[in-house]
Amino acid sequence: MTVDGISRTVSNFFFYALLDESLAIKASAKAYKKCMKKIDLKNTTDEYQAAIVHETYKVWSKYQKKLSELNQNIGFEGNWILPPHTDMGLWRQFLRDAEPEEFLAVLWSRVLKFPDERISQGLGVTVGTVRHRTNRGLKKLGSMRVTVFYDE
Amino acid sequence: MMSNEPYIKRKSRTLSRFLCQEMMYDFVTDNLDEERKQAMLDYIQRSEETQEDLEAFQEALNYCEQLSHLTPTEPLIEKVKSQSSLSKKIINALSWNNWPQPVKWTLQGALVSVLAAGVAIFIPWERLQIDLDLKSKGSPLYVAEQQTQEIKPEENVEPEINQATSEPQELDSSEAKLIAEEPTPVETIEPPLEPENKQEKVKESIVAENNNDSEVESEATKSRSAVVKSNLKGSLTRMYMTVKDFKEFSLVVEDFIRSVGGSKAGQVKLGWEKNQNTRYFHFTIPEKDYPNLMQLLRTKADTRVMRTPHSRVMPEGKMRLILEISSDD
Repeated sequence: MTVDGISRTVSNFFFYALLDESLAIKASAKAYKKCMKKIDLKNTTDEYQAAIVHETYKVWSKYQKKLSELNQNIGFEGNWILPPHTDMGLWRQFLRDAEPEEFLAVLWSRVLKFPDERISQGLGVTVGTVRHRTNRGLKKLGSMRVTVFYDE
Repeated sequence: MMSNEPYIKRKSRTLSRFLCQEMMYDFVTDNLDEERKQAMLDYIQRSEETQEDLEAFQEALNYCEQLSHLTPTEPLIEKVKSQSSLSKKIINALSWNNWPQPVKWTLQGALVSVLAAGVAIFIPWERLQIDLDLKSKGSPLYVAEQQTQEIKPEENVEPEINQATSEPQELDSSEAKLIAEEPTPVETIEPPLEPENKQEKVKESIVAENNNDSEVESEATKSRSAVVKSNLKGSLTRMYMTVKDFKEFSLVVEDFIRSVGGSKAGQVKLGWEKNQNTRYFHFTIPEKDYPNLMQLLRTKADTRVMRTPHSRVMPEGKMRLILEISSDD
């Protein structure tokens, strides 16, 4: 993973975790700076990912308090290019209704494509715990999606 | 010969919907052993609810796959990388665009308030108004007729100078002639006269005005205004009218003045012949009879009225007037 790749990954994490572009930029810069202090570019990508999980989780925890004070309207200013026909309302609902650990597990595992082992290493939990959280998060997300389909 | 069968026979692991849900992630990511995997498949085929669960799970996975194609722009990536230094953080924090909206609105509102207050306080509105009033056709102000003797020293008026002097003292040339033609006997003035030096200054300024010098006029106005503000506590009402039978009407006015208890206020008699075509009245009447006087005058002809502050203060309840009735011919 290159330096740009780290920056891209961190930025995407905070975009989905905060759903506010201005907050996401600030959090990304902070987390990126911390990651670059810990990451040795000579090491493999796997080792980066554990550090990224760890640092992004710490920064996210601080910003989550700010997020709870906002009305959680999605603030888009065009710094990210969304995939076409993406329903961000569903993701916002998932952010609001799911448990934080399950939400983050789905984000790291299925969106950012981090291996479960790196996630467990970054969070300091077992792989089984990570998979369990991911399973519950996906189940929650799936139930919301089905509800949306039925409403349509 | 030993058999390959296990020593302890395991019970068959039966599945339930709950167990299937718990293992769904492992099932779709192929993390189950073969036996468990086959059991899951069998259960899913038998259970419609579990099939729906699996479909929902797949939809959630597809949705996450779609989200994974998010692309940050290059400026954003550079911004994230470059914002790491403290100095840039400080610069970014000081940047107006990054301030919260309520703070911006508050500062803008405060700035507008300060500017408005500064304009209201520091611009000399009174002086501007005086200059504007003087420049309007070069004539003195015509104060609206008032029922009461409200003194307004701040108005742009000139004081009435000692009428005994032969020097012209009015703002325009016509007024200067009027005063210049006053009779020579000195008029006794009830309050003490203002100091000679101040009167001299005001006379000089008024003489300069008669030359229609706008710059001098404005300076004289300023000096007069200063004098006015300090000395003028009384008032004088001047009235001018033009009638055809001015002689007969002058007699009517004289009778009215005497009937209400009025008397001459200067040295000359009531209805003094200022010239062949003008009768001059300098008199005092009770204030309560002023409206009746005005009604008498205005029923005859249009009357111009000008009230000016004056150093001479009348007793309470009395007012001093100058009336000039001119011939229409």
